[in-house]
Amino acid sequence: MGEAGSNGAIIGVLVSYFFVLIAIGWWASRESGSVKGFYVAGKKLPSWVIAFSSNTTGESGWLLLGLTGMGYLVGFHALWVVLGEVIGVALAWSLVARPYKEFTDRYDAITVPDYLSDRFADRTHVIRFVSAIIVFSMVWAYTSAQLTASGKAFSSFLGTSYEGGVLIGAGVIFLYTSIGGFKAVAYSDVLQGVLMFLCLLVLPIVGIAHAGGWGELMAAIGAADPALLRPMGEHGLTLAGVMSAVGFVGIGLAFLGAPQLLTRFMSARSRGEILGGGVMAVTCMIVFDIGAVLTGVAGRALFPGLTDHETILPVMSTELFPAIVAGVILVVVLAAIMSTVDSLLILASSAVVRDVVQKVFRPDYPDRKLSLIGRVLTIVIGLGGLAVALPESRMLFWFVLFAWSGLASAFTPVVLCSLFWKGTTRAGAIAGMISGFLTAVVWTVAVKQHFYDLYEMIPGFAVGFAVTIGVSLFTEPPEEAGEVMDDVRRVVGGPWKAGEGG
Amino acid sequence: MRTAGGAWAAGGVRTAGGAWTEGRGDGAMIAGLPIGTWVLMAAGTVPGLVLVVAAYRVHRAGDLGKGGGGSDNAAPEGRRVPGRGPETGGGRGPEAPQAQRGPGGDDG
Repeated sequence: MGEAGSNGAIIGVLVSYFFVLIAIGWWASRESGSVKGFYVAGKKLPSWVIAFSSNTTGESGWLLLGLTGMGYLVGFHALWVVLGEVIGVALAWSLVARPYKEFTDRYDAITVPDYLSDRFADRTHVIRFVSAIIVFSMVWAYTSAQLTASGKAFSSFLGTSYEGGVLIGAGVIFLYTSIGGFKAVAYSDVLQGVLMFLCLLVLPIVGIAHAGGWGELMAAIGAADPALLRPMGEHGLTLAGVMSAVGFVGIGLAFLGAPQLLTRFMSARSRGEILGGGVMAVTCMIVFDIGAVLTGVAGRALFPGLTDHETILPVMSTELFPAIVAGVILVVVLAAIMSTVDSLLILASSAVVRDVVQKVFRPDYPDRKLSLIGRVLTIVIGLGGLAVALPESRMLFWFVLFAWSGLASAFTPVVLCSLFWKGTTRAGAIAGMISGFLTAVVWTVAVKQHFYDLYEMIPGFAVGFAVTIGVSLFTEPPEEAGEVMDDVRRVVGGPWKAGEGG
Repeated sequence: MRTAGGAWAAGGVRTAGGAWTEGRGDGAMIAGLPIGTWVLMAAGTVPGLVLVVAAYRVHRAGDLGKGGGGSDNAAPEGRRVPGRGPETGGGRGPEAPQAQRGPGGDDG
């Protein structure tokens, strides 16, 4: 098949996929007429939807382009990322999700700031404003980087212009997200997650087969650089090696409390759905991550010497597969990007419409009007990301990891303290959010390069926890928080103890 | 084994069972990978699965049983937090005054 024929096949697959996404948006639009419907799908989602939606939102284009590239660059040392992410997802589903779901149902909360604001009796709305600022700035950075990845994916696979790729990707995401709201986002995540799952199951198998089998692949990798086979990589068991491993593990910590992931737990139909979803989510995450690392390792043996290691997946798919399959793999890359961008847009939109407009300034606005504002705002926020992505094609995946850590450092320590420690106070929560966020930013800008490139999530978490706990010890928690927490524990139980249900 | 040129050759000897038994200076190897790498791979997969399966077994009676976890969009009326109205009730918040906490609080 000539190049024109190949491109025709890829475009055919792509157009079909876009039609399916828009159809999902249209189908979901019936649920999106209210604020709760638009932002948490009316809290009616089943386990398999929240499992796939959580994983695909957490794993952006970074999984397919970044982690495969990491496998290519550092070999099996990248397995530390797998360790961190799988443990992070497992802890989130087994320890955090159930009490969080119970709390948010009791408070009738539909956003993370909504929950924190009620949990800490914040009548001044400071938590809502601080949350909105952090969410907005990080979503902007995150969305820009993901749209950049969209432009790169289009130009790698189809040879289109970078700008054209950004615009096409953004246009489709804006359309189905603004029409269908969170329900469209969650169900499209399922489709996108299944595609990612299949891709990362098949790609490493094909790569290993092309290398001549497992033994030959290991021999080739060992011949190229024996450090690629070792768990501690090129650094060995040194301080630099340990810091690198700790940083990789730290990437997974965000699954414990990043707001875009907590929204999935909130939107579950019941706690029972969370229970089943956890097993699915962890299984799926293992396939995602191990598949990505093995793809990169196989790619290192098959296509050594790439100047940009993050292009290994497009290179493998175009070199090892027929055009139509390469088209499907392009769709999978776009799926990974879209499944994250759509969730971020909804997150940022909810931070404004629910947490600021509805809860602070205009509680009298009817639901339909607020959901309309949400739709418009979703597009406006996306256009902000587009404005950064279009002229700047050099944005790399470190930008994604930075935004990921900024959101998680601000919210995870505070959310975990709020769920498990009665002594957490409003002042502690606000101070913890601000300090965790600022630490992640300052570490990235000024300290990281002088400290073994330690990933900013680690100091962000450490400072977030320390400040939340420290300030809480000197201030008073809301009176009713203790009673509510006791009752939540009675109902949901503990990690190894069944609750009374209800 | 290392070649004269210093490169790591496709070393290792495959046993009858198909496993690689000889390493490349990384200690014991299995199927061409250092044991430490296999341990890392196992540590990255097994504990996570065990954790969620254990949670499923512990909580399934309460959460999947009769009425467990509720089947609607919000907690039953009796479990709602006093002072929290429906989602459209802007400006809500606890009306109860803040109480004095004992020293040390509660570690939860």
